[in-house]
Amino acid sequence: MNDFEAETPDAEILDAEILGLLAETSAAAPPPSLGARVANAAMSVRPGGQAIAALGGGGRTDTALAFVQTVDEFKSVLAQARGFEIVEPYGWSVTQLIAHLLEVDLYFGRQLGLWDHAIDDALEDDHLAMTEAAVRASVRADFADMVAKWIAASDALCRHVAQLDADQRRQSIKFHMLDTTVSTALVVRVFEVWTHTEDLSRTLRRDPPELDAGRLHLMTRAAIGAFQLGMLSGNVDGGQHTARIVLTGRGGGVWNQPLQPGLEAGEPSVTIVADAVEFCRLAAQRIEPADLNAEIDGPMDLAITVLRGASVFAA
Amino acid sequence: MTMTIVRPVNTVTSSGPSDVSLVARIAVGDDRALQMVYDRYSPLVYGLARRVTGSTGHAEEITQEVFVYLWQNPDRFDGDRGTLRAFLGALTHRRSVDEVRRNTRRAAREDRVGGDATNLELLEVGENIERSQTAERVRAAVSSLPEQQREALLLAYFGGCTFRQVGERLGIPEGTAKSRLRLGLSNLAVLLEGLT
Repeated sequence: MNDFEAETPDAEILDAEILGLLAETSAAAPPPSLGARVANAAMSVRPGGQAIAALGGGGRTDTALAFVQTVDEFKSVLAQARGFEIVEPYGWSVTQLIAHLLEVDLYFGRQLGLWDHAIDDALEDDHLAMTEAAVRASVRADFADMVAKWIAASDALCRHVAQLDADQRRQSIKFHMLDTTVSTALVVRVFEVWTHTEDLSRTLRRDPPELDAGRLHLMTRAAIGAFQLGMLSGNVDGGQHTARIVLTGRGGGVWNQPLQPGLEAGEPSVTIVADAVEFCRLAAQRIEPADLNAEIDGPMDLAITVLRGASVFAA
Repeated sequence: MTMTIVRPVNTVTSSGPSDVSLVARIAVGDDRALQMVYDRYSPLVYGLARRVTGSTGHAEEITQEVFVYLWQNPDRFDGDRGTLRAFLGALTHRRSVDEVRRNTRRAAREDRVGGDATNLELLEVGENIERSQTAERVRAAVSSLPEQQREALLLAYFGGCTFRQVGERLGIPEGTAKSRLRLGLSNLAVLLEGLT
């Protein structure tokens, strides 16, 4: 509302600034008890830790649908690529990237009971090592042929996943080093496919498709949930501390995360505030902890320890 | 606790995170960020509401409404279009004026708090020295305005008066009241350059 009838929008903004300054002359300390009442009233309309709806808070995203959508987005970017172009960070050709994805999809389908597929059991826990042989073997493979094979496997996988009911999604599955549910494995796959979509988009010098808040929220929750595993597998010692992670923007949220398994969350020793998408790139090891734009409140060395632990998904 | 940045991109100062950062954190459910915004701006919100409505009870209600509104609608604040102080000040003023215009007993209102809407005496602002210095500078700027402009501005802002009511109080036409108020705002913008 333009209370003082400024003639232009810019003048209205300036009026608001002047009047805000004028208000400072009447500033007065409120009653001490008012702060708690305000906090209670606020939490009663939106709980702490829940983002506003526009950023993905309060909603439930279908993990199967999320997986299928993310695969479709990858396919749309792939349609613009040529097989010989190089995709970082691994220096694979696009053909080799597809060989990697084919191997992962064949493994995932096997774990879901769709088909048989032989793997080297010794390499099963390592996502990259498990596909290394297939990636090497595809160095001179025909791109169109590789894409066709991958699309056939991917389409079968997506059809199967899309018709899973709630009970089936709650079933246990081993996926690399994770013993988890089918639903969680689907979120991990969303993470992986999204990461490769970004990798490929970078190669093509195009903006990647923008993930919706719901899918991003699935990913940020997965990244935070994998924290302790990441610290264990990376031999990173977080001590008895709790880290408060605030991820802003679409898919964001707030988590008080103990840094040791079995610990209950306590008063945070360190608070880290970062953009949700950037944090997902850190989790996927596409950026280093030192390259993350973050606000840190607390000891810097503990913050870096936490961020190292967050770099857990090798895609 | 120290506030530091892994990469110095944001405008974090020794006084803590920026308002823009705090509102972004509120949007994702950070209740501690809301607490920080409350600590920073509740004196402004409460004080303004109390000054305009003349009632500590209404001031408390309005303060609660303003911060709950921010918690529910953080995306309504655009840091590119103005400061959080201006945003919260505008919300508070609007709500307070609504309250005043529902209140038919304006004389009783002035008696409850004491003083009239045009009294710019600085009220207590706690230990925030920066806020005190800002308020002092604003008060000095307002005091230096021509009396006609100052009266019109303070009646409209702290008194919650419409242009017509300002004109009636000052014995001038409504159009003249509006002109004096706009001139007052323009002059204040010049005097307070650097703070805006």
